[in-house]
Amino acid sequence: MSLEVFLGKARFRNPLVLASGTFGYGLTHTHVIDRMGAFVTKGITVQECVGNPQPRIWDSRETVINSVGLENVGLKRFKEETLPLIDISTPLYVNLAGVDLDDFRILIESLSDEEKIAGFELNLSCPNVKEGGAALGQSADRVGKVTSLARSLTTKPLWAKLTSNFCDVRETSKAAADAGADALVLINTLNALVIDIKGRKPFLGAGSGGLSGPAIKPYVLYIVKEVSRQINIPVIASGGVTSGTDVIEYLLAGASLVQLGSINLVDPEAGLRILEELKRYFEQEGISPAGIIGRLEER
Amino acid sequence: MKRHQATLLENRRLGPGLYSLQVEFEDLGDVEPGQFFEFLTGARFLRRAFSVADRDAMRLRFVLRVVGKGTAWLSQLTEGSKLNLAGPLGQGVAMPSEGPVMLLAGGIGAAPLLYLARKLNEQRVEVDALLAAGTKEELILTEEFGSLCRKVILATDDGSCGQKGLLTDILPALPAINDIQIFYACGPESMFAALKRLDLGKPLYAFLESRMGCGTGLCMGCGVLGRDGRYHRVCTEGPVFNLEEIEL
Ligand SMILES: Cc1cc2nc3c(=O)[nH]c(=O)nc-3n(C[C@H](O)[C@H](O)[C@H](O)COP(=O)(O)OP(=O)(O)OC[C@H]3O[C@@H](n4cnc5c(N)ncnc54)[C@H](O)[C@@H]3O)c2cc1C
Ligand SMILES: Cc1cc2nc3c(=O)[nH]c(=O)nc-3n(C[C@H](O)[C@H](O)[C@H](O)COP(=O)(O)O)c2cc1C
Ligand code: FES
Repeated sequence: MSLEVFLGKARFRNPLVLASGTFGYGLTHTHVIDRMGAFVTKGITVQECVGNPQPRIWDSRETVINSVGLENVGLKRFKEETLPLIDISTPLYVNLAGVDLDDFRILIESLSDEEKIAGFELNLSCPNVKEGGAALGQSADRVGKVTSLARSLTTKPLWAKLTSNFCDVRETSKAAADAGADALVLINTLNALVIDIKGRKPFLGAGSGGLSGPAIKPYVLYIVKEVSRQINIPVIASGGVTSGTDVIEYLLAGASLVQLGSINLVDPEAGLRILEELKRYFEQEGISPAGIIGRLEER
Repeated sequence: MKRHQATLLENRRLGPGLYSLQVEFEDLGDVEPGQFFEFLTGARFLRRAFSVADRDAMRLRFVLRVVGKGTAWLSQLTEGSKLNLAGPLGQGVAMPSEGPVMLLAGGIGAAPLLYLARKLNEQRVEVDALLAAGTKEELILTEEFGSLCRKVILATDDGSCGQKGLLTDILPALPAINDIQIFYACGPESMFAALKRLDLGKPLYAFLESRMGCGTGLCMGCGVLGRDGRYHRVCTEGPVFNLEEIEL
């Protein structure tokens, strides 16, 4: 049975997407990437970025809090050194992390003609950078401006990855859709704080971090359901998926694709397991993923 | 990355918060000193990293110190428990072509150095060990090192066993250090910083720890700052680094 999903004209062999920052640049574990619907790179900034001081990771049973920051090779090295090495059969989406309009202009102008790149994920939401990122993503006006600039510079699919930190994600979603985004990615990590009571200071090197993992799934499910009913472009869910059941829940809630993030850190082959779980479900039910998207019934 | 369903054969308490786990694998290839395995626990979402402390055929030994919920969960496992492990991960150490070499262990840092001592012994490289810990009870694996090393020097912070003082206080005064070709060290970050200040004039390889996200090079969680101003991944580029090349 085919698990394919279309977003407009773009075809995905199944609804699973490897989330930004949890699968590197796509240079390793390609046997997993090649079975997924799409792959998103770590956030790329205009300048090379060393990221945040240690410690960068904290976890509990159901959460990860990370403050890796946007450690990445930067646009120039990504284009000249990394991109030529990427050899995958799955659509490659590059996560673009700009702090202002100029950054996004430079990033897209430089990468838009690259044939290997299927599309872009605009990171309007990273909580791990001081300026830009989340600040950009908290204002519907600025989300609209970045998205329409990006739209004017490329014909490739554009995904707007949004935040719900200190803002109304229904408004930013609408702004991105109106400005021509092809899909919304809901959501990036939630602002979070870990306190070291002995030192009376934040535990993470950057002071605070971004919360992800199974604990955020019910919260993100609700956002996906609400936004997908109000906005008429596809929604891609990102938050706490660890199983095929989680993916099905997101599809029912209204997501067309579903990203896998933190679970890749526990097991880089989790995507393969989840894919098998999905296959089994859709075979048993005799339906396709497209047949259940948004089909959540009223109580 | 290879995943394993392994069986816990023995869980033995070595000292306060210190446990030795014997784990039997169904299938296990080469494992080099310095490499580690990541353990899934029922207490935390992410895996926990532990160095290989010794090997006997299909059995690996791990030695762990309880510092939080993940290690506490592992320390309470009973014999026969099934373990979900991933590994071996990371790069093995560069083995020396000639000795003598010296192993510098601070506390639980003795764990990975024991396996290195075993391999050096197999290759007939002469090896000395300086084992330091807070107290006598925390000084572990001394007999095992004794059977593999030319000389073992013990030290405790409180003087309850061996020489009294920190490893880095005792090391410079040891007569044996003049002919040492390479040092291998594992211990707390403060020990590495002090070793750097000592400037022993010979290569020193540091077995580093870091809070890991994935252990497989995907997340950049484990980075250690290099002299080049960039972060290097402890999980895939390490966990052993030339002390010269990292900032502490
Ligand atoms: C390559 C490698 C090899 C290793 N080998 C070994 C080994 O052989 N043996 C061994 O015992 N260990 C080893 N470690 C270390 C081991 O992985 C860690 O001790 C383990 O992951 C801790 O897990 P935990 O859940 O018990 O502790 P966690 O709960 O994760 O806590 C870890 C540390 O962070 C501190 N911390 C957490 N939260 C806070 C907070 N809010 N405020 C202040 N402090 C906080 C804790 O006090 C503790 O010191 C190795 C690590 C690496 C990277
Ligand atoms: C270690 C780590 C690094 C991340 N880096 C990025 C990033 O560079 N850009 C981005 O848009 N999202 C990043 N994210 C967010 C994830 O892509 C994902 O949206 C989020 O973790 C929620 O999904 P999850 O609960 O499945 O992990 C990162 C997440 C983690 C855990
Ligand atoms: S722990 Fe993820 S890159 Fe090292």
